[in-house]
Formats: sequence, C-alpha cells, structure tokens
Amino acid sequence: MLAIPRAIIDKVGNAAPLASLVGIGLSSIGLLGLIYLGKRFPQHTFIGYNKIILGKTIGSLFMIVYLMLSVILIGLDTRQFAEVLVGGLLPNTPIHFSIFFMLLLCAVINYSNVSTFAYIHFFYLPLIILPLLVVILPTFKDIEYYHLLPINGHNLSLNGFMSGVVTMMGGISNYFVISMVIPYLKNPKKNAKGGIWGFFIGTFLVLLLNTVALGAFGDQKILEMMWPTLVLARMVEVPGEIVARIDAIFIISWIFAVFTTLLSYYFIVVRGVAEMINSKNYRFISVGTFLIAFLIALIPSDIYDVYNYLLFLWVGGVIFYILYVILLVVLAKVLRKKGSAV
Amino acid sequence: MNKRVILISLLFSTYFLTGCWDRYELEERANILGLAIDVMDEEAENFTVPEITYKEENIPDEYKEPIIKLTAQLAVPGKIKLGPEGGGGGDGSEKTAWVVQTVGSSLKDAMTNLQQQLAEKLYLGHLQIIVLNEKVAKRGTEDINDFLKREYEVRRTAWMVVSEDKAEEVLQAAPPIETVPALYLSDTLKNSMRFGKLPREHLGRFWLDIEDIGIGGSIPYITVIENDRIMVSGLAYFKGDKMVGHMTPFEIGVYLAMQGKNPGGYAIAVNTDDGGIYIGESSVRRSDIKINVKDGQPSAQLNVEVEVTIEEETKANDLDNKKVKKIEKEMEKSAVEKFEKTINKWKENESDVLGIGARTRAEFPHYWDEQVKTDENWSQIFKEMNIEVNVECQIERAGMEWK
Repeated sequence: MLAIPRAIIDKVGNAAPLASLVGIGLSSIGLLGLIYLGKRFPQHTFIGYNKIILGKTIGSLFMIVYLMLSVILIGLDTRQFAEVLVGGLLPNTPIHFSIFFMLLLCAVINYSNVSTFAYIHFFYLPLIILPLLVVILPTFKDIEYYHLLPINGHNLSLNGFMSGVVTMMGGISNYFVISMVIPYLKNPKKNAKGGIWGFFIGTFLVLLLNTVALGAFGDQKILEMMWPTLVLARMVEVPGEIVARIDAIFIISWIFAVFTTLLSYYFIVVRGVAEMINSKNYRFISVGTFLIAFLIALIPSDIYDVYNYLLFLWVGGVIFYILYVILLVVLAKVLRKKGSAV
Repeated sequence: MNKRVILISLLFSTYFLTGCWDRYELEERANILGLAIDVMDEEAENFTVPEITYKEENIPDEYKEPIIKLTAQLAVPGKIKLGPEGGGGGDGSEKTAWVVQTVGSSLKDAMTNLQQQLAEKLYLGHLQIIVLNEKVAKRGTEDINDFLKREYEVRRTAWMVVSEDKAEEVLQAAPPIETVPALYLSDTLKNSMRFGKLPREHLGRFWLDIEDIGIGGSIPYITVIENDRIMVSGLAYFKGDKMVGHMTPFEIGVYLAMQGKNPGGYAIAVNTDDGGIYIGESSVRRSDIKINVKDGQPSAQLNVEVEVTIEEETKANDLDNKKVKKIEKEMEKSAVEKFEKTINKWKENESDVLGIGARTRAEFPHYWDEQVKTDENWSQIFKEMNIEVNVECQIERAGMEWK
C-alpha cells in the first residue's frame, strides 16, 4: 500500500493506471479459478483439493513451495512494516521489537478458531478504508492532467508493460486467502459473491491510489520517494484545517492494513501446514511459523534489500499462483475429480 | 513460595518495561518555527565553521564558497508565552521566540552545528517557514531541499520563500499582534493564497514542480516592512533548483490568470481616450492552454478569460453599456501586452513555470521522446517557441454605483 505506486511506476511510468487495470483483470481470472475450485471441492481447502487433483506426492511438493513462499512474504512484509515505523514514527524503538510484536500478535490470533480471524478482518475493514479515502479524496485537487497523460507511457515496450502488470498483481495477491477459508463458510457454494465483492473493493482502492499518486506527483518525482502514499498523506490539507497533519491518522490505518494482510498470510500458513501434516495442533505450528518469519524478517540488510526481495517474490509468486490455479482448474475438469458433497 | 517469585519478578520487570523508546517530552524539544538561510559575509561577521560533519576535503566544491549562515527561530514550550498577551510587541522577535544563528557548508552541516550548541533536541515538526536569501536561492537549493525532504518531521505544507534582503531579518521581524512571529509570517502567505494573490506553492508543490520534467518551480518573494511584517513582493521562479528571477506582484496575477487559478485577486488600471481611469479587479479566471506541434516545432496558445469587477473610477462618471465594452477592449489590449512581456521574461530565463513542457510531454509523447528527451533541451526549445496569448475580459459588475 505504501510502496506499490512507486514499484509500478518504476516499471511502466505514465501507464501505471492502465497497467493496474490490466493487473486487476488478470488477477480476477485467478480469483474466479479459486472460486470455481471452491465450489467444486466445498469441503477442502487449497491444500486439500490440490492433493486430490495432483496426487499426494506432487501435490505436497507444490504446497511446500507455496507455503514457504507465504512464510517468506510474512517475514519481508513485517520487515517493511517495521522499516516504515522506524523511518517515520518511532526512530528510537529497536526494529526487532516492532517485528517481534507484530508477528506475536498474528501468532496468538492464529491459536484460535476461524471466526476470530473473520471477526478481526470485519472489524478492521472500515478502519482501513475510511482513512485511506480521507487521504485520497482531498488530493484530487492536486492532480495535474499532464501527469496522467499519455496513458500508454513513454516508449513503453510490451515487456515493460507486462512487468508493471505483474507487479500490480503481486501487490494485490492476498485474495488467495479465500482458498483457505471456503470450507469454513456456512455455505461454501455461495462464496462467489462475497469473494468478488471483496476483491473489487480492495483492488479498486489500489487502482485509485496508484492513479492519484501518479496524478499528483508525476512519473519522475514519484521514483524518488520511498513511500509515495505517505508523502501524499503529508501533503493533504483537510478543508477547514481541523487537523494539521493527516499522516498520523493515515499511519495508524496503514498499521491495521499491514496487520490484516499479515494475518491472512499467517492464516494460510498455519492452516496449510496443519492440513498437510494432518494435525490440529495450531499452537505449535503458529509458534514455529513465528520463529521462522522473525528470522526471515531480519535477513535484509537495508531497506533497498527489502524491496528487491519483495518485488522478486511478488513477481515470482504471482506467476506461480495464476498458472497453478489455471492448471488445477483444467486438471480437475479433465480428470473429473470432485470433492465430496456437503 | 511460587507466587512470591512471580510477584518479585513482575515487580522487577517494571525496571525494563518503562514504556516508549521514543518518549520525547515537549519541554525537551527545541521547536524550530522558522529557518532562514543566508550567505555568510566572512569579513563582517566572524563565525568560524566548526569541523563537525564535513572534513575540509569532503566539502563539495560548490559549497565551499559561500558558506551559509543559518538562523533559526526556536520556541521552547514553557519558556515563551503562548497566546495573546496585550501590549508590547514590535520589539523584534527575540522577545517572544529565541533566534539563534550558526554557519555551515550545507544545511545538514549547519543544523548539526546548531544542535551542538543547544540543550534541547531540535524538532522540525512545527517548521512553518523557510526563508532563503536571494543569493542562496541563486546558488542552488539542492542540499536544502534534500535535507528537508528526507527528514520525516517536516510538514509539506510549510512555506519556502525567497527574501530580497537578508533572510535573518525576516525571522527577526516581530508582528505586534501574534506571539509566535513565524506563525504570523506563514499566515500572511496562507491568506494571500486564499485571496488569490499567490499560487498554491507550498513546500510539497514546489518540490514537485522543480523536479518534474518540463515545468519550473516558483515560490513567494518577500520583503520585510518596518521590521514587523512582510510584503509579498513577487514570485521567485526557478530553473532546476536555482532561482533565475522574480516576477512583480502584478505578474503573479498574470501567472495565475494564465493557469486559470481562482479566486482572482489582482487589479488592472486602464484609461480611455476621454481621460477616465478605471480599475477593475479580476474575480474569476479561466484559461485554456493549447499546445500544437507542427513540423517538429511546438507552439502554444493561451486563451484566458477574466471576469472583472470595476472597483474604482476617476476623472469620469460615465459607466454604461457602451463604455464597458470600450473598457473591456482597453483591458484586453493592455493585458495581452503585459502577458507577453511576462512570458518573454520567463523565456529569457528559461524557466517554464506554466508547465508548457510538461503538457507537451503529456500530449505529444512521440515528439517529446524523439526530439526533446531532456529538461535541458526543453529549456532551449522553450526559449525559442512561439506562445500566443489571447485575453478576453468581461466586466460583470460595478459595485454599488450605477454610473
């Protein structure tokens, strides 16, 4: 949420809104695939039906890759979060503590059952969306049309454009959590509506953010910013001057956003591992994940490293996700594999 | 027994759980309200630059000379009186805020030197205004911008201004009606903006403009009046990070009209053949900047529409339909002249404050990517390009007088 505009604009320049749109389009294929699979295997999670479709050995192999990717993402995302805290809010607090407590919180919540997880998301949703809108809406007056044109960018090759698209897809890839919660729903067959709504609200906000950031800053200036969205929040003047600095509110809402994102990944990992090894000992897995993620968060030596790794994983992860989901859908159809009826 | 151990260890842990690492009390901060940056006159003032940040050989050549002098207006809570306190005033800002000075090769260097002299930690979160001496602005503002951008405490809604005289004098000016002088200065600017006398060019916008391709930055140009207030005496405009010239207040009006920024705030005086003198103030401005590239030659057409209210009439008493038409014609003629003169001034200094380059880049990407490419090339093209101005004035109201 903080660095996405820069990452995309770095790749595609002025074409960022277009690339975001295409990215959303392509991601929605993955989403539809997941929803379809969810309907077909209403009692199984991603991990479960992938064993059914691909067979035990191959399925597990892929799942190990998938879960490892998620753990690494948890670690790096936490590190990114902690870097922002140190850089913009709490310069003297040791970074290890921010990482430690964020992960601890995720770990503890994953001890308990799915409804806790769902309620936490439900509770934080408005607290994320409203402040984001408060930041985005007043910035409309700072948008210069000449920052947005030409919408297909300057001297942009198809390759360059696609790498921007993939970056966007990486940024919004945590819709994947839906594949893990479907079997816990009251009515798994009706998951489509909620999933699609959630996906489009979330991605629309990211698209809006990218467009506004580009429109306000232009494709040159934004490359120099560590966290364009944060700068955007600092430039905002609320009409009536009730509060002089919006960015404090914004950072709080951003912390919620990071927290829920991490929680989703964490949920995927804990439930996934539990299902793979046929265990219900979530506590043990949760603590294990915590330790691994904590160590991974400490690997990057500086902030540039963090983003290099993150971008690499985003791109790699996205290609894996989409192709893999399509593969699963096709195989499920061809091999006529089906989950047991509810 | 076991309970006792737990109790003792809990009590003991309070030593370590003292709360925030970033606890940072208000009284321990030296809030910087205003910064002024001057060029040091080495003969008249005997400051020596302490060797803190730079070693002699590390100073970039362009910063060796001149050395900058930093003046900071500090407010230490509990030590200055807050809130209006009748009487006094006009004695210089030393009474209400503390003005300290130091020198350095670049801004961070000077800030470090300043911190070396103070008991409280410098805090930039309340910085309202940064005043640059004209010489500093012409030397280049890269170090100043970079330091302030990197520092997360600085608000992007603060103002940066260029002062014609010594910048320190601006901070020493103390208005009698406000206890925190820097606040008054920034209010002056903020309200000028609201009345349509200044463009919305606070720090955040200014940084955007100087770094964007094909657009020049501009910030207010001010003069100190009677040591207690400031006058917005123009707008300094930049090429890259260096100031290249300044507009007069009337030209700010021209500049704002060209951008179609509202509300209108400047007036124009014209006289007709029969000796009447009329002053009309712009109320609403609309503008349309059209860019065309023909045979690899860009040209621009500015169509500006201004709605005018007659505010004063002397040496005549004959306003009516016909007269109004005549005055409009006169106004348009004189406006076009002034507009062109202003544009020529910008062209001469290669500062594209209107963002014609940025618009060209947006609307004609092929032309830009093939022939212009860089900002440097653009300033050469801008210098030569043809910019046509059309102004349409429309007198809508004339106040409470019929004639």
